[in-house]
Amino acid sequence: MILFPKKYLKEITNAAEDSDKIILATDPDREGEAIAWHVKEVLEKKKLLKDKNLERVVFNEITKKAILDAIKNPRQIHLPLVEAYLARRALDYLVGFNISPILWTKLPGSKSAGRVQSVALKLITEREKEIELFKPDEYWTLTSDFTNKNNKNIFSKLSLFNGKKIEKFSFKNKEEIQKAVDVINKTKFKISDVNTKVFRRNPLAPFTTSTLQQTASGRFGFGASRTMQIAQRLYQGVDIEGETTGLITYMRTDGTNISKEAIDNFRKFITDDYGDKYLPDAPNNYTGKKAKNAQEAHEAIRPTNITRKPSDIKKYVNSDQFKLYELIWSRALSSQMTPAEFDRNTIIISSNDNKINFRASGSVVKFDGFLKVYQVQETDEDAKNILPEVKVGEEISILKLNDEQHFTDPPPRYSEASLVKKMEELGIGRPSTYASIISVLSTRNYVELINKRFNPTDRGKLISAFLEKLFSKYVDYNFTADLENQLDEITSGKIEWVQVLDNFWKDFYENVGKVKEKRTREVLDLLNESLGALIFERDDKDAIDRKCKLCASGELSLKNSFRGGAFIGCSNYPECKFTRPLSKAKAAAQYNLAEPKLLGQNEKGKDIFLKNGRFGPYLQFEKETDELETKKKKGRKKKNENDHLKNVSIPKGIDVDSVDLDKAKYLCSLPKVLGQHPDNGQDIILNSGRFGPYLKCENKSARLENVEDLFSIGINRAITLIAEAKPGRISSSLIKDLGEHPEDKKPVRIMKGQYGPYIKYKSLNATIPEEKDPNDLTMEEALILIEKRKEYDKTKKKGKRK
Amino acid sequence: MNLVIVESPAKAKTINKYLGKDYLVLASYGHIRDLPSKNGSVDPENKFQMEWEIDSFSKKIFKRNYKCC
Repeated sequence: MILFPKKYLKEITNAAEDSDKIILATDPDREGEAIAWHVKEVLEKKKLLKDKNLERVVFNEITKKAILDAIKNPRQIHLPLVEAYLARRALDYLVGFNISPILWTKLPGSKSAGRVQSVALKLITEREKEIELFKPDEYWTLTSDFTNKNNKNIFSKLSLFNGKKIEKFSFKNKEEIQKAVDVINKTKFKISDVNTKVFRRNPLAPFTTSTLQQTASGRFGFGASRTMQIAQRLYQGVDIEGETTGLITYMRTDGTNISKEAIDNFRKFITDDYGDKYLPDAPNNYTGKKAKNAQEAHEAIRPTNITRKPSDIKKYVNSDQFKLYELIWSRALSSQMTPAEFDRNTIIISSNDNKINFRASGSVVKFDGFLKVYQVQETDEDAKNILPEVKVGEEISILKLNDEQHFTDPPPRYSEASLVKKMEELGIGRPSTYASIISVLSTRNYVELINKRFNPTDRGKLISAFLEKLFSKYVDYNFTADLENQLDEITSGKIEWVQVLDNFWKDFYENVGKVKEKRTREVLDLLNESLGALIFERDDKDAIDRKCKLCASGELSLKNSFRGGAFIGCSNYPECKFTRPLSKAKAAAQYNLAEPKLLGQNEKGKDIFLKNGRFGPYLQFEKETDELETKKKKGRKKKNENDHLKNVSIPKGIDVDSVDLDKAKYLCSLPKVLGQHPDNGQDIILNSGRFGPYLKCENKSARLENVEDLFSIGINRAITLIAEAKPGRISSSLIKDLGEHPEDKKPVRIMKGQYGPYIKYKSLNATIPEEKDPNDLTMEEALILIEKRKEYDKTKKKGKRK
Repeated sequence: MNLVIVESPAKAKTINKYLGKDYLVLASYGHIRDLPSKNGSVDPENKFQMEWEIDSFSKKIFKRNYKCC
């Protein structure tokens, strides 16, 4: 067997032979330490390290000074770090390798269960359960517009009624609020208090991996992997006037501190560019998560040179890189600036007996402080409420009372950003793993991103319930967090790695054995019970009702098919052939649409029907006769009885119940010309495709992130989206564009093909191994695969000649 | 001569420029070894000894390419 990496390894071993000193300068974290250790082990096995100096150096940024400093301060490989890596690899291997085969036999169609991914999946499915079981509560709020003698208006909220402080559920229904309104309308009011307080808003800590991912997602809609790729590029360096320059420090970190030297530079920059008012007396300290040992105490993500303003580098980087650099630059700089100061004005309006109070507040910026460079999203709704000058004792009358009905909302589904945040709070996953955990869940089809929110698939729900029932300890949040802590403790030498594995393995092995003995029937019964209300109806007494509605004697249960995955079927099979999908919502849609629903007529007077098909709901209407004739002339297709009908599928993510005649007409009118692009006069076309709605203009196209935008998008927003899109032939099968090949600047792309994902570079196609997530693939890895493919093609040719 | 190992070719190029002619900076192209996904790569009976394989990642590709050709 020929080994492809031989070429690179050979290069390293040859060079090692001729060297006096070997310096391992991989990334400054556990992974980097592990690669250094692997290299050392391989060289040792080849007996190349005799009488040679082997050193490990680390640097946090790729700048000349940092590199030269690092070379002057070498150390040895820090074994505890390597051991923590070994323990993690072994844990992941043991869990995956033991649980996956059980999944394959008991739940056909499942792929595998990663140790930490399963816990993330549990977060997503638990949230889904909360949403499905959520019952909204009604409540009412009361606000009032007051006016004084000078006709100045004050907008205020009821804060006290009958001497009781107003809380969220103070008024639960229309009657309760109406009583209050009646009383208040009969009451006279005066100003009882006016006060102003100064409040400060402190700057936020500089970015860690997770806060960077969250903020980039919120501001630019970048996914976690995309953010990390852009950050990696900024760290490794971009070409600035012929010099490759590292623009930011290492991007995988959970530290929030900044080196003393950098702080000094920041402070000088603040004084010079913004003035002393913006400089705090002493540097701001951020005590983030404490690293367990010095080797893992990383700096926050910051620019390598604060005087390199975003505007200075704009012409050397692409727009994504610019956005991220500007974000990192301003967040880091602002973290060392003074707080912003606001005047918060409050007016209290009271009844004579002081039993009813209204409260108005508003704030005015007194000094912008750090907000000068870093904008914070305003969550305070009073912020823009400007209050008039009024005097205590002044009489004031009601202009308008506004009672408003509200309902509590179910908790929102996780977005990438909120999932990372949650994992960090629970202590699950680490900066180096957040992005990959997320992408593994999607590639295995355990979750679906709809409108940027995670929805578990049926398969995901099933696996999650399976693990919860049969491996509950190993998907427990505390257990997983504790294991991560133990890994951290290995790095500080507090525990032995073999000890950690031993403790884990004993119980886990026993658990695996027990589950293996269970019959599939038993497993499905457990799942019936644990999924309960999620997949079965409830009867009048709110108890789970599993009686089959079709034969009335059988019991419904989860069933599994090798091809279609899980579904609900009847215990009287094959006599009773009742089946339905797992999710109740889908099943309901199926019932509702069991008969085609007539929505109305289109402009031409043809009926539009909403129907349900194998591939989901769709619209159907009769084609125009002239359309039919042109088709016939071509005569390519066999005549089909449905030829006169046109089907239009409903894009995923759109609530089928919300599709009325207007929306249906709109969907049937696609593709639709929104207007012409002002630059080139070309049509901007809106259409819906396999991957959802998108815009197309000449050679550019842009996807609409939110499916509902399909109905509301106008020409202005379309032009913006087109402007942000990259030119090029959009192929429906493009997964990711990696950028240019370093040698000839030709594009390297990851494509989705018939036989799975592959890398496309010029005329060469290189397969991506199954276990690798194509979304995670970096340029480096792609280059290796390309080289390997080239080499393979060569050997194949040689073989043929012989 | 001093040999410096980093993980990526892009990083190697930049660092070599900073360090000058006395140094040769080469890329390891990521992890050079991996745990093959087959039975016995980790041995719980034997102090969790791990059997590493030189980049099993690429071997797979090789196999797959053979199969489909």
